[in-house]
Amino acid sequence: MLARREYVKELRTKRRRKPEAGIVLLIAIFVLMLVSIVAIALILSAGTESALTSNYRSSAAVHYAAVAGLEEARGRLQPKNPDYFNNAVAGFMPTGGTPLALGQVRYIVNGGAVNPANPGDPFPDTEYESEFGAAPTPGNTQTTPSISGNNAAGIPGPLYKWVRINAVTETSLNLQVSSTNPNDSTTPLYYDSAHVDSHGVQRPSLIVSTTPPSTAVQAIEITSLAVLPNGSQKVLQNVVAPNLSVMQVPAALTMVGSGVSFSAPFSSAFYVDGNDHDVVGSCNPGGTPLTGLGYTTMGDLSGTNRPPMVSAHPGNYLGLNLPPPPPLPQPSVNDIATVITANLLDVTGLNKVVHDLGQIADATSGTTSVSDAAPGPFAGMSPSTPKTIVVNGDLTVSGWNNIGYGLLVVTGNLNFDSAASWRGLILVIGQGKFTSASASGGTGDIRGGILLAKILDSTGAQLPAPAASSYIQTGNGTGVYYSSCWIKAAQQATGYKVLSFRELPQ
Amino acid sequence: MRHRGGKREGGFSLLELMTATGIFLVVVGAAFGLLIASQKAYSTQSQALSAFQEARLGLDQIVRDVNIAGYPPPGQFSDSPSDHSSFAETPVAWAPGYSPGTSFSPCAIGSRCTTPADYDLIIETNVNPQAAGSKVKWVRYQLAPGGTTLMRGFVDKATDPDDATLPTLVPFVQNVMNNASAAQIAQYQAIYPTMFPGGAPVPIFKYFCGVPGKQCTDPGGNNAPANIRDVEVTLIVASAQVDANTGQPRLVVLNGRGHLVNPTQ
Repeated sequence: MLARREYVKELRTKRRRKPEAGIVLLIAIFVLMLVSIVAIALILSAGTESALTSNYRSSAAVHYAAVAGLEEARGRLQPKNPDYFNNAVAGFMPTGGTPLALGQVRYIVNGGAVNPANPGDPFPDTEYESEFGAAPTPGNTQTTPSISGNNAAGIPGPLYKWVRINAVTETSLNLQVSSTNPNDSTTPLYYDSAHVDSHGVQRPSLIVSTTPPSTAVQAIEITSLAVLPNGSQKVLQNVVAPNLSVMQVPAALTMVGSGVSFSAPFSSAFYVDGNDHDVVGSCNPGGTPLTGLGYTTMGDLSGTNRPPMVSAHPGNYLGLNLPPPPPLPQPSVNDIATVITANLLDVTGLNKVVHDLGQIADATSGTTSVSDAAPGPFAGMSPSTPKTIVVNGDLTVSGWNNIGYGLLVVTGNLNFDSAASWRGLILVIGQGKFTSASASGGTGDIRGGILLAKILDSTGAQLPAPAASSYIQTGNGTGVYYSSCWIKAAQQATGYKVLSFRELPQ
Repeated sequence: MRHRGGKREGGFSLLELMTATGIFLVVVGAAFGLLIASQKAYSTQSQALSAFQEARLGLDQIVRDVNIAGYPPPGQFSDSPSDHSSFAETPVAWAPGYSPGTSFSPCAIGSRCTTPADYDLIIETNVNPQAAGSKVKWVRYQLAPGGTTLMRGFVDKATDPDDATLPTLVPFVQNVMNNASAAQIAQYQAIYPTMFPGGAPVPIFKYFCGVPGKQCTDPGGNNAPANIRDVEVTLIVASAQVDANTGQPRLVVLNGRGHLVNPTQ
């Protein structure tokens, strides 16, 4: 009985509490709702601020990511760069003055899965088709990975997806480079630093030519696509060209200084020829002939000082005659003081040439000898891999019956085997003495040019002005032949300069 | 209280009800107070953000135009084209003294140039080079004296950059306070002491002509417009309404820098 009473009491108590619990719940719901509204408002506000920051960041970031792609490509075009394209993929870029053919496409891809030439790729290169009218063909496409991946700290590199490198035409650039209509779609464009326009004004520019002059270099287009994870994307494009400050010589054989001496074989096979010789790669000779044998001090090598072998074979000293004296033929042996560039006439300028070339030399050495058995700095030269070699001292080339390619600088005496040949420039600036002899006679030739200047005395001290340089050839040999194309090929680009920059609308 | 049958009436006493209502009102009041303050802050903030976002987009556009200025440069053509609107003779046009095809006499930035100037810049470039028949345009940015709206306009390159672009200008960024009145600047300085150095207006455009560490207008700064290689852009933008909580104007400084890549040759 008691238990039942207790049960009824408990039940009544529960019935009394039930309405109170409902009110508390209601109040709690209200409070929670209000707090939630305030919280949501705050979150929305913070969200807007994040969006603003993000917009700004991505706009700047995507631009610089694309620029990073352009710069990687521009840098890796240089053969002296350790990351040079051809070091990663053999034959990636043509060498030896050969142009990159139209239709040949090279890509740097940033991320293993990226394949811009595939239209189904998440980041396809649709821009190429808009420029050239067709997508790149797989057979003409080569790809290399970017070198700017994650760094050692795991920080990701620039977020460009791919960079394309190709030749350009008027049509692809949508520019009428020449005044001829309509735009040409089949001739690759070149950049000619010595271009003279139709008004006779020298203005370096792009040119349209199937036979570009020796002063022209191919214009290359670099296109970079950058895409950020948030979808921002940008396509930037450069047209670049090798920065060739090609050193020019005023004669096939230039002898700078006062009291110069020249001695060569009395041989009908020996020539000093200022006419422009040899096609090299896409480079075509054909400029104005230069002097064959040039000197810079009036009276040297002329009149009574004319070397007897020149008088014996005047027809072997070919090139420009200054002034043309009748009757012809006259040997092309001229005072070139008025046509040589000023820096090659004074000691400071000549010293600077040696110093500057030393900075970019592929090989430097002190006094040394070169032979077949021990080629030393001469090892590894070929038409497509010329070398800049600086010898600070004497150089003896003996028993090396090969062809050298590039730019050879010797500050001491150069003894050059008359059976050896050279394609490019030989500069003997210092002691200024070139001697050529060979036990076997020899049929070697120099195609390009030679410049001799004596600016040091026998102790190696600098002279106040260029003194008597000398050329003495007692072996046979076939002589010195000017070639603007070999000179050009010998001098590698010190970089690629930007000819134009544009952003392509997306 | 008991009804017949002994059943007890459920519910609350008056005291309980008033206590619960009181607590409810206090909580609700506090919450609404917070909400209203938050709403005001949100409203002010979003207005400011919207103004600044507009300015940010404007800044990005200016920097982009500067980056691509001078396309295509003269060196892209083997013969100087007779149609001057097919190439950019200079990345930055100027007045007086520049009239393509007739006169080409450089003015000095900071003295004789009416443009480029602190609040005036005319870019010469082809903004859409792949489009068929596209021409080089003059793109102008100008903050008129005493004005607070940065204007933008563009037109095909013609004979006089100043005359040709003026009629095309339309509002681009509102409430640009770089060249505010002296009274306004004094008011802003009280709130943002470093925003207007020396209490002077702040140029929107500063020009650098390739001499390290020097503006074009500095001695030895190489101050011809064709020499400009970098343009530093500063926009000081105010929100449309004052801060609802403090009653003070809200300003922000946006900075950008454009680099001219295209050569002038």
